[in-house]
Amino acid sequence: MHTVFKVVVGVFCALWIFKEIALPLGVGAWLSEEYMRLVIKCDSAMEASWYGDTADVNEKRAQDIHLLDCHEYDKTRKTMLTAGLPEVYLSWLGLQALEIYQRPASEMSEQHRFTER
Amino acid sequence: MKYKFVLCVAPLLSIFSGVVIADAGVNLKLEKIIEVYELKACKPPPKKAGYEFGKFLFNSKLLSGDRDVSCATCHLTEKGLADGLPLAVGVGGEGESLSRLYEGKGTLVQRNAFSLFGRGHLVNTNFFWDGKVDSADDGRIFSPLGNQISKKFSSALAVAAVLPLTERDEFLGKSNFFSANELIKAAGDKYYGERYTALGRPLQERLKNEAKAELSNTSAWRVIDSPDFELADIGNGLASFIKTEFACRKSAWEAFLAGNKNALNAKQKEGAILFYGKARCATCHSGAAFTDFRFHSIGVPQGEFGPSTRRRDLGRAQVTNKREDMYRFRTPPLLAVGETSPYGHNGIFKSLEEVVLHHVNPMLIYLDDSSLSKPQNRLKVSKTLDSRDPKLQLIEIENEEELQRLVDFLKAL
Repeated sequence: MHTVFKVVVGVFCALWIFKEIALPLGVGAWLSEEYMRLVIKCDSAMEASWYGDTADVNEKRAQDIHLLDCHEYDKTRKTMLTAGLPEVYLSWLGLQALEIYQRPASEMSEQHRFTER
Repeated sequence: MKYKFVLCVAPLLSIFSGVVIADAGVNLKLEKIIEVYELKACKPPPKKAGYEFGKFLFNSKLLSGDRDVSCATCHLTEKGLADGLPLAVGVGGEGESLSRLYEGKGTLVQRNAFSLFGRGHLVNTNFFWDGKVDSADDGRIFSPLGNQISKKFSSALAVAAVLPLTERDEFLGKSNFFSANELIKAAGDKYYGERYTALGRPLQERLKNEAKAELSNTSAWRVIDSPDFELADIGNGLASFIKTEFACRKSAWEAFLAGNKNALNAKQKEGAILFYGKARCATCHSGAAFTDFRFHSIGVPQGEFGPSTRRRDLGRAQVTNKREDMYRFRTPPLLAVGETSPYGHNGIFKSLEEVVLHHVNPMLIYLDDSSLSKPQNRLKVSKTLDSRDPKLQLIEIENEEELQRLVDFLKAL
């Protein structure tokens, strides 16, 4: 009984560690870069379809095909959320990809500093 | 041992499944493209009366005043039915393709020769870079030959096919102060409409005298021998041949549309997705022949020669005389485009990469070509650049790899 209990607890712990830690970390490492790439592609598709002329049949068709990039973005996002990655992390990746996060002044000043004289 | 096996196989399976999923994504997008753009494989039309006559005429130099040019001279099979030259070389030229330039005896036609694939079958609305032969929805055909004369023509293609016959540079021949061939004598100093009438009889005589051996036992002879023979009969024959012979192009893209999903390689498939999607190529290069039959400007620099005054080429404005049509040209069909270099109405782009790049970066050609920076040119650049179609702003080509994928796809057409 004691052994069975230990095995059950052990398996449970292993599964818990896998689901809560290993899986999100692994999927995060595997898909984060791809996710950021798809954020840019989807943003580009949405912007182009916003500014494009929907009265032009061929332009509308091109927009439809371009927007398929957002379908891939959605799929990847769902895969990452299902794997346990928090939404906050995905939002942070999105902001990083689109470069619309708050920028510290050091980003502009650092390159002008003497490193040696 | 078992664990080692699992450790080795797992990453391979992961990579393989990734590739399979990515490929499935590409194929899914291509299926959507076919659905959204309503694309279908090309079906060739059946041979009709006039095909054999047209075949003879297409390859015959009898149609040119000095018997030195045929349609096949500038529409070569090995050059995608174009001629491989920046500007076509008409009467007086010798040989084929580049050799016509090297000899230096020929007369420049002042525009880049088009491929003939899909003409009449897929491309029906208008013809030539400036659409000077155009058909209206009610069946009327507009051309420099005049609306009344054109009524005997079976199609706009038939009119387009005979128009070069009335041009001095393309077929009529070189005029000489002391001597001239009978076609120049008959029509050389006349306007287009009058040339049409004037050329019918001497061409009929030529065909009767010099093509009898080849055509006397064919149905074409009845046409040639008829008292009602006129230039339109030649046009209708040529149109019948062109429409049937060059209806569909055997290409990887055609095979793909016909159902062979492996006809395109991975790079070409990526290029197709770009072409129909974010690169916006299909906004203008649409339909089976990859043209919308409309007139756009991509800001192609003026070359050293052109059919307008002062060696310029005003494009569609040559036909309409409208300011907004200046420097606009008919969207070129893209069938066989991989074989029809150089590109542009004046052949200024040497490669597909150059012309595709010009759609998104029109400055490069001005920087790379020193002749365009000469004093007489550098103050005129905005005329053509400012005429660029606003649609070009929507093109998204993000890196060199995407540019190359587009070119890969174009070569599959």
